[in-house]
Amino acid sequence: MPVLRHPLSGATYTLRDDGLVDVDNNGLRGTFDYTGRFRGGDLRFADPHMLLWLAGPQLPAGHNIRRNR
Amino acid sequence: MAANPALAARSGGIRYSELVAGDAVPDRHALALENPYRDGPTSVPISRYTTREFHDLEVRRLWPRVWQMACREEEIPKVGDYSVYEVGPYSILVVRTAQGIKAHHNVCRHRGRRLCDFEGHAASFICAFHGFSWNLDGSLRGVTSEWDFPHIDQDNFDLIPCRAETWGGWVFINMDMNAAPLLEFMGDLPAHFAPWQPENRYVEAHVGKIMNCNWKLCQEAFMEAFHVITTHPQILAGTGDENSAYDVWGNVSRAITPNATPSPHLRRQPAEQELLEAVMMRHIDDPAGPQVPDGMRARSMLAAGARANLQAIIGTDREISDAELSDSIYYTLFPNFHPWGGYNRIVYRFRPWQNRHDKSLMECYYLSPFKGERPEPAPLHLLGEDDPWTDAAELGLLAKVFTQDTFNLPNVQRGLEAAPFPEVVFARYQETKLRHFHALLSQWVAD
Repeated sequence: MPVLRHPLSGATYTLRDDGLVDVDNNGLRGTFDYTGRFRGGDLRFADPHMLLWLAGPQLPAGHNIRRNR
Repeated sequence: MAANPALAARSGGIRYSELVAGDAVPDRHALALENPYRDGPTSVPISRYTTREFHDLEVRRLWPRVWQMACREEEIPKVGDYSVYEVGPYSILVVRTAQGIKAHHNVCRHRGRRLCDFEGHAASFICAFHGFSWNLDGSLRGVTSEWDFPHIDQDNFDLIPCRAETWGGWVFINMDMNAAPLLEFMGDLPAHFAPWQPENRYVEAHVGKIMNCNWKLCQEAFMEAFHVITTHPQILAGTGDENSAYDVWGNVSRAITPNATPSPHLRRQPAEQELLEAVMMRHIDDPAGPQVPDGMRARSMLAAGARANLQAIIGTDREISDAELSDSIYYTLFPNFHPWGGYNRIVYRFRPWQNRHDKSLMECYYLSPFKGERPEPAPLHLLGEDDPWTDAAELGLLAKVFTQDTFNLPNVQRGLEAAPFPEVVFARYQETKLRHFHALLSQWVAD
């Protein structure tokens, strides 16, 4: 599943099969939807823009490329 | 707390000019020019974004007098082809005639019906209400039941003309027939763009989306890199957001945000490979992609690849710099035209949607180089206010970047409409382009 690391906090954001995102920030874990709403765990806050990027509306297969260059 | 004059005038990160001086192919053109802007407001009234009154001021004093990009020349290639440009309550026909491109108010002189609802091809413009007609050049062609209109002076019953002038393959209109020429209004912009030849590109993509926010609020989100730290965190490792350079010339402002260099906010130096992967917006679990060779900068590697691709299309002998191929160089021609410089394909335009102060139309063109015969321009792909940007797959990853911006903008509008304070505040340097825009806007809407 797609995984991103937050460049500032170092937290990892992992997209799950059900569309939610597991966030691990130095061992503290939480689950969120793509709007930033908390769904479970001990970690109560995650970066909404990282969640949106990973779990929000996605491009069709084959279009995840930079086309503006 | 009082303002602190001891705060630095620039970020502690490397200056843009220092960064590009270390490039494998340094820039020798306009990118090195600097003209920092020290004037302009550091705060403006919220009412500029939230009130019908300010919108009406713009409708009376800005839009009828200022040059505006209306369409591409390639969108009206044959005599009789026309485009309809709309802003606020105004509707302008832009038409190719045998004598060149002309513009007229899109309003029947009889009872005022709009003559054309959308772009098309015509031998003349015939009103769908009673059939009055005009030639492409705006001269009166026919009056239905002419016997019943002895009181019309047919020599003075042409469509109301607008100015139409061109630059870089774009058609600009001005409703003020006494306005200064377009090129005079543009000042230094054509000289900056001369090596990039926008006239020799075609519209590969054209996407518009109705946004639930004021047009200025929308465009201002694309006039600074200050928001990258929060709105686009996934690219921070490869974006020198706080290293951006902001400069101003007349009616033109410019920001340059270096890429494949880390944000100063990181407080660490990522490896060149991490810079590359951040620019390419790769996930950390993606299969291994391109590798930066030892001793090479990611910036130079990206530029070398882009240079080879570009040379194969345009075949220029000019030495294209790393910066032109790698960085985000975003110009603004007041009030709403945003062509990107270098070899990034982006061009933005923002304007009110219909005649609303709280809705806008954001458009993104990809203006691409081509080899051989000019391809057909892409038609507008219009997204409704509830359609996701990702429905426009032709934008590629930029659609996801826009999704992040769009997550903010309606909430900024809602916040401003509820704000229990009178002004918004702009950063002294990183929001230079906003300060410049509002300084000019104040001049235009003043009595």
